[in-house]
Amino acid sequence: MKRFRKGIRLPEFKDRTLASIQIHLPSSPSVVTIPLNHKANGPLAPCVQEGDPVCVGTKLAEGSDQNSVPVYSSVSGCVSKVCQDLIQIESDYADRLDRSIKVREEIPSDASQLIEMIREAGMVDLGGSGIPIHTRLLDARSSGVEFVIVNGCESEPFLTADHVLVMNYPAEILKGAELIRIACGAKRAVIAVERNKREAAELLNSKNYNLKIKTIETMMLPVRYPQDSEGVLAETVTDKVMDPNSSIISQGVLVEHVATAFGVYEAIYLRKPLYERVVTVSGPCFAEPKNMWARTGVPAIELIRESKGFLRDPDRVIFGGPMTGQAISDLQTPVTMDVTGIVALPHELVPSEEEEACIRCGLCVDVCPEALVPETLVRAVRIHNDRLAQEYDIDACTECGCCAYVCPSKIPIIRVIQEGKRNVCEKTASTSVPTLHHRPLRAVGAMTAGASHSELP
Amino acid sequence: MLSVYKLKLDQPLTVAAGPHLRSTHSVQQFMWGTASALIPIWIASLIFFGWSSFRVLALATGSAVGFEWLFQRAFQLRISVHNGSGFLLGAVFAFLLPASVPSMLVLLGAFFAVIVGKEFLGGLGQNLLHPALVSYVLLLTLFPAAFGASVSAPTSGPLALEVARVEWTELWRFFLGCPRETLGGASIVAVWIGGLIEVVKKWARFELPFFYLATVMIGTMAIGQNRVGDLFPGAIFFAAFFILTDTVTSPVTRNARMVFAVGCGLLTLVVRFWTAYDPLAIACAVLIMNACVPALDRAFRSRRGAPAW
Repeated sequence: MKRFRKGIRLPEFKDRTLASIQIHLPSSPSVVTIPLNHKANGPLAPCVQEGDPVCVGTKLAEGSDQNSVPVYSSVSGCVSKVCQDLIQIESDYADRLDRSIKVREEIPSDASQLIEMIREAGMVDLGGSGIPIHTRLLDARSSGVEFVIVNGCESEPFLTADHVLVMNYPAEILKGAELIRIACGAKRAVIAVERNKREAAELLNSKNYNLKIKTIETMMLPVRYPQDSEGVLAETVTDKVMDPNSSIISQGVLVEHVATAFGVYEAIYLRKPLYERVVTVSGPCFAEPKNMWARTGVPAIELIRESKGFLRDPDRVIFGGPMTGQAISDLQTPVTMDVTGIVALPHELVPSEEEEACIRCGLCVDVCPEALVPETLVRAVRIHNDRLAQEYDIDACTECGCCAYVCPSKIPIIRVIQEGKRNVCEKTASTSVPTLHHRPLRAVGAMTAGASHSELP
Repeated sequence: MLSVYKLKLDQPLTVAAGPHLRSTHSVQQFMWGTASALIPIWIASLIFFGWSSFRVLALATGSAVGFEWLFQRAFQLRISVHNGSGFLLGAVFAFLLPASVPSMLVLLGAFFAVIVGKEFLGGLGQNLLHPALVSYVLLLTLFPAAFGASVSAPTSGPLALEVARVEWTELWRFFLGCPRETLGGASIVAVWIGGLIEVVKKWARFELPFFYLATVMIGTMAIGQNRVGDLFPGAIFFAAFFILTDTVTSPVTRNARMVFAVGCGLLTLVVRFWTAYDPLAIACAVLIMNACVPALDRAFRSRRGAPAW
């Protein structure tokens, strides 16, 4: 293992949601809104009509091509609205399970069969990017990966969802990781956690003592942000230098999230499609921050009510962690499967908008995990010099936010770089935008920030 | 549900790009911190030069801040006096001056430094050359007599390297004592203390003074001038710790910084030993390297594909 020396130490703020490792089970929501064209998955064609009765786990929409996955209902009740980009379901609070969800007696060991089951279950990446998992597994199989890294690092502040998931379901995660390994044809799987989750690593080791899955090992990494990003993780775990110009998968490493491993376990062993996940609802503004199961499409306010509401007004409510997450404007926004947490930040933690002149201190260069020069990138974007921005590899930015975090002048570096990526993307859109899953995952931020998926060829 | 606190918000949520957390670093902390690292040198100069050093310092810092405020007020720019960059510039400039310099020259120098060297070029962060050195070179060229130096009699200038030719026996006195006329060269020990504070607190990069001083010393010894006065010329330490380390006029990447520091050292030696232009040795070297900073940043930029640790 190599040591990751760039990046930053962040305050953790994880203690309040780790007071108990119990995962709270919220009451059934009254209404769920399921988007049909979300991030990397879409467009989807609905296969229910308004007024249809549905159960938990009933298929709502089918992918239109091989790269998209179906979505499933997360409540039982009646479909109240179907339109181009969303399906709304009113709950009857009964939570009847669809009949298709039952224990699978025979677990297939054929990789293509497993991948088809994973696709059918609607698995997307639960780490935040929302890419359908089967496309990544197929990619990994065709490029012959040797390593599967199951990412349990969770270096973002406040988030503890992965930690408690491992504490509650260690055996399931080990089995899920083994399934992912079989599906992509790798030889070894490594479950990587940061040192502040030592108990989780110990638990995985002791469970594996009984399960005796020889191909899986656990590894503890130093606590450092962004240890959980794909490129950094692949480099530190495999001890190899990755070529930044091609995807991590094509270099023999597949990085999946622990929550994805758990989802794959459920999809294969229980035939349970993806309709819920663990979400951390945390932040100084909440009365009772906790980890809870969130169903897809549930409005954020329902989960906030489960943690007893706000003690005081937050300045921002964020889907995901505070470093890479997105601020939401409306508490009714539905939670999707790529949301790892809901964090409410008071004004004293949130950066002030007042920007000072850049004093070229070089802190941003010191911390950048991709070895970029954010200072020059910001200058290039602000003078609209796209050529300079491209020469300094603006597309390689993973938008981890380290540079903007340390900047003493409070320059919104990430916002400027996103704008620059959009400008660069617009100019080259007609010539050389690669297809979705062949593009290195590092650059996915550029697409989610800029052009939406449907605009790509 | 037993009891629920607030669910309705009184004010709308802010939507902004991430990251939604920020470190406590600030320009203000950076500038005032660096200025506070000058305190030991200030004390030393008060001890050795008395109240005349206080006059120079107070005048330089006060007028620098005043000029900055006036300029920003006059051109309706955002007033940024509070961030301490003007104060720091005035203080660094003052430490380049001898204690006996006339007050009018201090005022003129502060004007050059703040207005010509910094604000005309776009304010903080936009200047290519170190403003204090620009102003210093201008003053020295225009009023050599006021510095007790002239181009024709170079060896007595304040930044000259040759003045303090002390022998090894006088080493102790040399370090603590007052070998130089400039305020910044009052005591080498004080400069070291200030420099160490700066480096430990990470307001200055370690590699800049280290490579600069190493180059100068190795070069001096290689040339064969190994007397103490050549090896430890007072003002060179001040320049190494407080002028080279100015972030605006030094490169942003570590490799480029090393090249920058070594280049400054070599140029200092060249100007010092092979020309008759001694008073400006350090100033010229640093100004020339300042002008090379964009090229250095480009040539030695950190590259992707280099390992991420």
